[in-house]
Amino acid sequence: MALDDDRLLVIIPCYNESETIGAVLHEVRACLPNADVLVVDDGSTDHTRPVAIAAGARVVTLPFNLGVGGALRTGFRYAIRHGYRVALQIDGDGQHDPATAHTLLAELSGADLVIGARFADEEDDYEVGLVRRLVMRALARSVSRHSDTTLTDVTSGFRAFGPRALSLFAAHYPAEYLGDTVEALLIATRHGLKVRQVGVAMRPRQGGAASQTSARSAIHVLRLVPAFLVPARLKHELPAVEESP
Amino acid sequence: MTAQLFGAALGVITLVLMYLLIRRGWLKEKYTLVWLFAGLVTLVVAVYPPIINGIARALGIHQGMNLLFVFADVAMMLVCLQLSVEASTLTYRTRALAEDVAILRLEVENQRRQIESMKGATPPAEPASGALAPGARREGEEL
Repeated sequence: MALDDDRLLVIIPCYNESETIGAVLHEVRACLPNADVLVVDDGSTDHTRPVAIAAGARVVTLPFNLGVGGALRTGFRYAIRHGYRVALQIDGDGQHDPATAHTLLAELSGADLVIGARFADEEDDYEVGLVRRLVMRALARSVSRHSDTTLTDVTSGFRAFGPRALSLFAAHYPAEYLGDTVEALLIATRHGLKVRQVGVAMRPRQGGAASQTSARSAIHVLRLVPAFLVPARLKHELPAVEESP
Repeated sequence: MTAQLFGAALGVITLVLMYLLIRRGWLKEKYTLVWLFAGLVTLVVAVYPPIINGIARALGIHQGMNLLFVFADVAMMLVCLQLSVEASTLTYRTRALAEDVAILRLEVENQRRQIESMKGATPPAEPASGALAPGARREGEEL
């Protein structure tokens, strides 16, 4: 695998995850001993930052809450500035098992963006409510139609990014919740990036509270409608990030 | 006649307000175009009301009043739209600033720590030695 030699940055966007972040960092260190870990503290109001620092991670702290997309783009920009060519996104609540990260990273040799997906096969027993499941399936279908591959879980926050995805997303990554995961895939496919998925089992979140209620999620799904309808040019060109000396 | 005076006063007030706000630097010129236009229209209509009926007839609108309402509606909508666009731009820029500030803060912290550890590493036995200090400073500057 060509990507073996590249330095890997594990990006963990966190909003009030002090209960779980310590264990997650410990697990990541154990499963990916050679990777550098960047925790992006998205304006947490709890002890996420000190806990993460104590656990040995680099911590970037946003001055206020930007949402997962903002936290992620911060991670991508950091990655580019510091010369990383591969990044892995993993949640701070413990629902992703870093032991399965290797399958995602391996798949990067033939793709620019790899999603660790639930519902990839029938036996998957990850529990979600009926409405949520239907919405997720509809979103997956819509994105798949724009892509050259079938995706089953487009809102998964367990992803691996190759060099091309990193440099695209360091400049353009949507900020809205749900928007960030789904719209990012649309941006990726419109720019000719190759998106793939591998099935992974996910665990229920290990502690803390989900940052969104289902009512708010519904609103966020509605906000996605224009993203599908209007093949917008990328607004707001950001100057490209350069590697810092 | 009273209505005419009232309208003219409104138009003049709008124009004077715009002038003052711009002169004191409280309002950027680009935001004032629509307001200036609204003020001018008010003034013109107040000074010479028949003009409204003339334009209305030309556009196939029966009541001059309705034309005024349409004007006002469109003006309001344009202002709102402009503000929405501005809000989007500002949101976008704030976000970019926040992201880069966060990264820079981490980098500054790391460099300060490096400099401090370097200072700590210089042997305290030679406090006034000129031989070590320049080297240490040069490394610090490179960071």
